[in-house]
Amino acid sequence: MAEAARDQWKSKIGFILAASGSAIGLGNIVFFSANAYRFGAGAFYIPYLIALVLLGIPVMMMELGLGHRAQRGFPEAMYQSAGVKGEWVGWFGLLNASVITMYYITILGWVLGMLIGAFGSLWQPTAVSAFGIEKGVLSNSMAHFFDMVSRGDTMVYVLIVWILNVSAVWWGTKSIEGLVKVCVPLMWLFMFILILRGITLPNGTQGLLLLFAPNFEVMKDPEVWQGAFSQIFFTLSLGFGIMATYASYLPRKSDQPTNALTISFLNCAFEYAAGIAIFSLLFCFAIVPRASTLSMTFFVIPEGIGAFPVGTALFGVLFFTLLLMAGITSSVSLIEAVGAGIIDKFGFSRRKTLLVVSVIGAAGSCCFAIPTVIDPALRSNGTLGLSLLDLFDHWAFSYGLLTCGFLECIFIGWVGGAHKLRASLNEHSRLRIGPIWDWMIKIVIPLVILLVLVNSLRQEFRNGLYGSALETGRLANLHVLVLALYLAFTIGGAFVLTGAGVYHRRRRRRAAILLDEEKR
Amino acid sequence: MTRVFSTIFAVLLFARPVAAFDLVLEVPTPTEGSDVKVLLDPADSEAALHLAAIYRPGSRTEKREEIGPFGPGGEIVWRPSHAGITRLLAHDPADGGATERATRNVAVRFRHPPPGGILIFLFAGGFLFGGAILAMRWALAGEASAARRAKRRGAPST
Repeated sequence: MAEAARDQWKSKIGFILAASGSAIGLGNIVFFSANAYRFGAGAFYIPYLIALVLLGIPVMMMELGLGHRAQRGFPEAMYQSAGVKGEWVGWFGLLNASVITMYYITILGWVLGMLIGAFGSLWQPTAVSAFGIEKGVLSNSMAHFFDMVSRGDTMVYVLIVWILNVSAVWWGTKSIEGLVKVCVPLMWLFMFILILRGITLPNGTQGLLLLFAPNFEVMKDPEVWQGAFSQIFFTLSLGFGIMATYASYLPRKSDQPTNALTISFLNCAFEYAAGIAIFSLLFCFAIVPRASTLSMTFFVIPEGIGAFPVGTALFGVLFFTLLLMAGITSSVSLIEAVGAGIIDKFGFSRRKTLLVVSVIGAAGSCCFAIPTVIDPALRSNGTLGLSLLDLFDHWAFSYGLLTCGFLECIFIGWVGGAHKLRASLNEHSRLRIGPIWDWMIKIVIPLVILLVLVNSLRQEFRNGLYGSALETGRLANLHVLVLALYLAFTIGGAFVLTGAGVYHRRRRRRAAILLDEEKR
Repeated sequence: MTRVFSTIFAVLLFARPVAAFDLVLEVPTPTEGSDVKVLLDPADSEAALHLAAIYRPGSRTEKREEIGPFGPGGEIVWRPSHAGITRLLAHDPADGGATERATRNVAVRFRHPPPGGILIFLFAGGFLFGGAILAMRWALAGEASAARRAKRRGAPST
């Protein structure tokens, strides 16, 4: 079967914008600030920068190199590097990314709802009728949010975001490039405007001191180091298979180490800028940040913007537009990674694959937007959709990504041979990567990830299975059900797809042999 | 383990408490190391409340400091020992400080810009933005030279 010419980025800048746009997401804008505050502000930058150099950049090089060498999506690239077991890791990574895509798009649907609210109703006291909460009991942003998620029309926002995403990936790299060339520069511009607004508020510059003033005591705390290493892993979109997919669309003669440096530095520089904008707001309005992206996004920062002396609606719209753009440039890459993995493995047509992926994905996203109230006292998450999101996020983000990263390093380092990938990386590179990189991939990085995973599991055993303390009404075993579903979807699904891949390869081989015999 | 999309909202913490008392500061944004008068509103000597400050609440560097009892006029002088976001709370020592009768978040200004902070600001900014600019220059220079080579060969560049 003759293979169609592979899609390619039209320009290097297009690829850089797409990859950095994928890495820059909601987490960069709000979660970094919450983490920096929690882990000792200025002193947190030291483990953070060390983690960037020791973990972030080497793994980024590995993922880009992997996809670029194979010129295929993640599972096929892993197969070419480490055989059938490697392919299983690739599918596991993509299925885990699919779960994240589903709830990420639900969150973007809520961002869209808040953006619409930012034109007016978000800044007014609202009663949350589904929970029987009167006007003024909750902050305006919180009341608006819970009123929104407890209504069925949120599903419409979720579907709109899915349509936007599918339109952006429909024509492959061409349409993705078109999107990122508009959105990524605008994201930087909007961030710059937010920084300007933040530091020109009364005491805004004191927020900078709050962000950067170090308390070196925290350096002795292992949890701070763990937080920094996790932050770097998540913020660079590692373990999703996105970078491998995006690099597979690059021409043969392209320089992956330089690309890895560019993407990593751009992502972290954006995070640095976002920290300044958010901290000036936090100081100015004496707001205590919370270590949760959703709380920061939907309650804490809107509360600060709501306290602006002038331009509340304008800056609210700006903030939620920024979030929506950052989110869409990330979700597009997630959908592309999943779609490309399937297309490259089974040779299905792009449009049919995208349609199937988006229908299944949109159904999943709608589950995370189910407005049924299961916790009327709002002790935990309130609705069934939010509770599902909380539980799936715990397994997919805290364990799935790191597990995928760990297995990727082990299979590429020990089975595929890190030295072979390094040789391929050095082929067109301006920078020469030394053998130390091999040992980073084979030993240091897997060890660090393993430590983080073991520590998380230890906490899990100590505190009980995650979610057991959540208020879920009559659905008392929801947390067990979610864990079972998650494992069946990711681990079970990876076995099914790997098996299908093996069958597909055998069938192709048999067809080739028959064709050969016929010719003879 | 750090949760990225943790959604345990702890909504009740966000809910506006119906408190019997309020804390009012003479200067809304006090400065580290300078005295500021804190007033309990309404002043209530019967309650015999004490004032405490929690510096950087919710962080790994959180510190609690007991300031002392409110005076008969419901006022107390507080000298913030740390800058940053601080939670002031009035509590009743009789119940071990378990019940918070009034709370207020206050931003305490830095007396001087901390030299360590300026160093980190410059170093991290220089490293990240410098790294991004340099790497981007390398990446795009590669593309420009490839385009030049392609032009010389008369082929379209990718």
